[in-house]
Amino acid sequence: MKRFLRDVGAFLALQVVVAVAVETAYHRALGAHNYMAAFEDKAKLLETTPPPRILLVGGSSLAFGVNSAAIERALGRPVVNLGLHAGLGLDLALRQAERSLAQGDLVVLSPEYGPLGPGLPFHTVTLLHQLAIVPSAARDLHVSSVPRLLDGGLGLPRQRLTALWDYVRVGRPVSVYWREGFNRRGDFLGHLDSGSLGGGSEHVWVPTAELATDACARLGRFARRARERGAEVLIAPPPIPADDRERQSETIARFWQAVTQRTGLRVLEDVVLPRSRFFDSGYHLTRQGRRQHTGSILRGVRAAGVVTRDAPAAPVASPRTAQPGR
Amino acid sequence: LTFTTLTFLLFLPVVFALYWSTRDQRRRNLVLVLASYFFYAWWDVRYAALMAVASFVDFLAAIGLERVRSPRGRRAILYTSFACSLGLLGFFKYFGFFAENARALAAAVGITLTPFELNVVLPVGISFYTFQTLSYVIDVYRGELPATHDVVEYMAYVSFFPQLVAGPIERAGHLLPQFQTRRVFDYQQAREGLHYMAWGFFKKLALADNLGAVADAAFGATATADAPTLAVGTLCFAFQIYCDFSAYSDIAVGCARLFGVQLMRNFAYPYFSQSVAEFWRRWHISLSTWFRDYVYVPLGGGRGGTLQRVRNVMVTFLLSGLWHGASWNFVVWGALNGLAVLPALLAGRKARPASDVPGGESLVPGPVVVARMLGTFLFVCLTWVFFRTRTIAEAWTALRRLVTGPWTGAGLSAALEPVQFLFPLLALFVLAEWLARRHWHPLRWPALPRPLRWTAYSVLVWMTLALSRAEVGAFIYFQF
Repeated sequence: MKRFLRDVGAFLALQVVVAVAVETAYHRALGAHNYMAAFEDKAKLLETTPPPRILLVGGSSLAFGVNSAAIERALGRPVVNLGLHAGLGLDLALRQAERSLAQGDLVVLSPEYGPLGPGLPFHTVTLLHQLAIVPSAARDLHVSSVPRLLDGGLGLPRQRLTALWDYVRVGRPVSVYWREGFNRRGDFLGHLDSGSLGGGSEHVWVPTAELATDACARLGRFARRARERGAEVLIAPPPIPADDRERQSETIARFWQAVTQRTGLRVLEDVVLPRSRFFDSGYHLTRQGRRQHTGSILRGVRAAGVVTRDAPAAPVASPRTAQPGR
Repeated sequence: LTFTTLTFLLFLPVVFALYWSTRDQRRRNLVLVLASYFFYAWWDVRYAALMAVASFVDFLAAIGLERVRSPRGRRAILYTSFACSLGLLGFFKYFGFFAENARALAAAVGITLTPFELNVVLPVGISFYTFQTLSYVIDVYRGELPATHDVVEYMAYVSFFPQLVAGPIERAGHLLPQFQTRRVFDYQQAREGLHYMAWGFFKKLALADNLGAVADAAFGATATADAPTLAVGTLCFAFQIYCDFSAYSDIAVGCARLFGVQLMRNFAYPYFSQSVAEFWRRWHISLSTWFRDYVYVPLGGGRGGTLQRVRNVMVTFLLSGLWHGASWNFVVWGALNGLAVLPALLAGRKARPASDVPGGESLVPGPVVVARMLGTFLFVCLTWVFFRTRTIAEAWTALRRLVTGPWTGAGLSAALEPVQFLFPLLALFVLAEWLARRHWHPLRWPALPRPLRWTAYSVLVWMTLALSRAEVGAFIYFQF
């Protein structure tokens, strides 16, 4: 038995060395600049921005679709855009925000529809990828996510190896999805000069109200805790292409009605835009779409009466990758 | 739990440590039973309870068979056990199928039936553990095996996690005694077990899942796919199902060896068979031998007149087809295989045992052997069309399009596009299996020095990870 354990241990140690080498090579070549590495910058921004703040919590529809500087100017409060990727799931986004909630904060929740449905709380490989690139993200991970993460855990080495293989063959991929594309408030600007790609080929799927029971419970729990800390919470539905909205208008109306009833949260009017206002997916907006979406959020927040113009804008600390002036 | 998850790779060493740190044999069995139920309950705890109840009924039935002397009483116990085991299997697996066919039959004679619909999920592995408990009760009834009075060792036999979900379907006479004797750790066996597992993971993750993606694309559009696409899809499915299912068996066999348990061989290079009859001695051996011993032989086997022998073969293959799923496609698939086996059986040709070297001893096979192997493989591939499609009409459409074409160069190029890296890998895999066909698996390099062997194993591990798909597919036989 000792011999077997010694041999297996030595072989596994060898594989760990290879794995560490692969991960290090990946991090140096691509990982440090990866779009998801911005999680770290957003976390720093959250820690260093003094309350009262406006926290934008959701996925990439917020990253791609909001001009935080415009909101900041209009409402006189510093804005932290935490939106990064819907695949990270609702729990991670809510826990990250919840950890730093303070008196006077306003949270604008704008979760994509996918994670609000049943059975898909997060995308396993995306979340694993996030944890590998920014290990500190694990502190916002819910323990119930662990089994599912382990079940899909074999997908990560494949992702690393194929990315490295492609890097060796053709170099850094041509893409806008880089950490450097974010500004100092957490908005993604890397795509703004690229125009519209018609919102990609995939359509936005909206779950029925009945399927959103679990998501409502989580949103409601978050809202209660936020109120306990003296923060306000609003929901701003993500922007949606007009054709997808038309196809599912009843489902969407019932869905947000159910969310309002079950969570007691105020839901702002959703933003319906033609596909020409979308970049590469039905959630990522172009420059014009972003402008309209930002305007809609501003109008909604003002109408809700939760923020007055009186509060002066607090200075915003610059994280490592901040790009001034954008 | 499923083998191809990180969860399983963490679960296994924990169970291994608990198992071997326990000295008492009964406690070791208890560790295995608890681990097995944890493994199974990972899917759904209710189905673990179902398995426990179904197993316990047969445990009591076997004890009853030993105690009761009167033939009538023994038969009553046997049939009660059958009713419970097959009743559960029928309820979960075949209720919808029979209800739908009863409705269709009634509609054909002008009667409108609205059968009661059940939306139940088929419990994973129910076909496998049901056949294990059935074989145990039948063996005790026949007096070939004493009933065990130790519920822990019996539960370990039924629920042993490496083979619980997709076999091999073990016989009590082979597996149960292993839980009754003290197991001693054997370095060579454990090492061999890891080789099996590594080869199984490679087959599943690097080959089966990638081949499955091509097959899914072809069979997802049977009505519109052209002939070359369907041909490539069929070929991919043939290797997908082999790599997938034999991978599960390899991992199961390897995993069991880590616990000092020997499971039976389930695949013996079936695609090197020279006849359909030989194929069935090399493919899913544990199921084929189960049907041979508990259906074919009791029906009369190869004895009696021609009609009786034909009946015995066809009933066995039809039931074998139906075991795979509640669909007419599986029945037709079984029937076609039965018909293909008949000529050799009726001619009284002596079957080559599965332990023979498949394809013969020669490194380079002769043209006759190659022709026989290719002919058998072609037939098997065509029958897989029924296995892969959902309806007879869909299978027929696919076969018709395969035959009638059109077969164009452009079509063939387009069909081969998605497999341009897979087919060379597949060719290497077939070559590796051909060269290793005297052994149970190809990872046998005892002559190589350790640094070289470890380098080769490391390459295999990382190649498996690199070639795996982002979303690992479930093992095909989980649905049966």
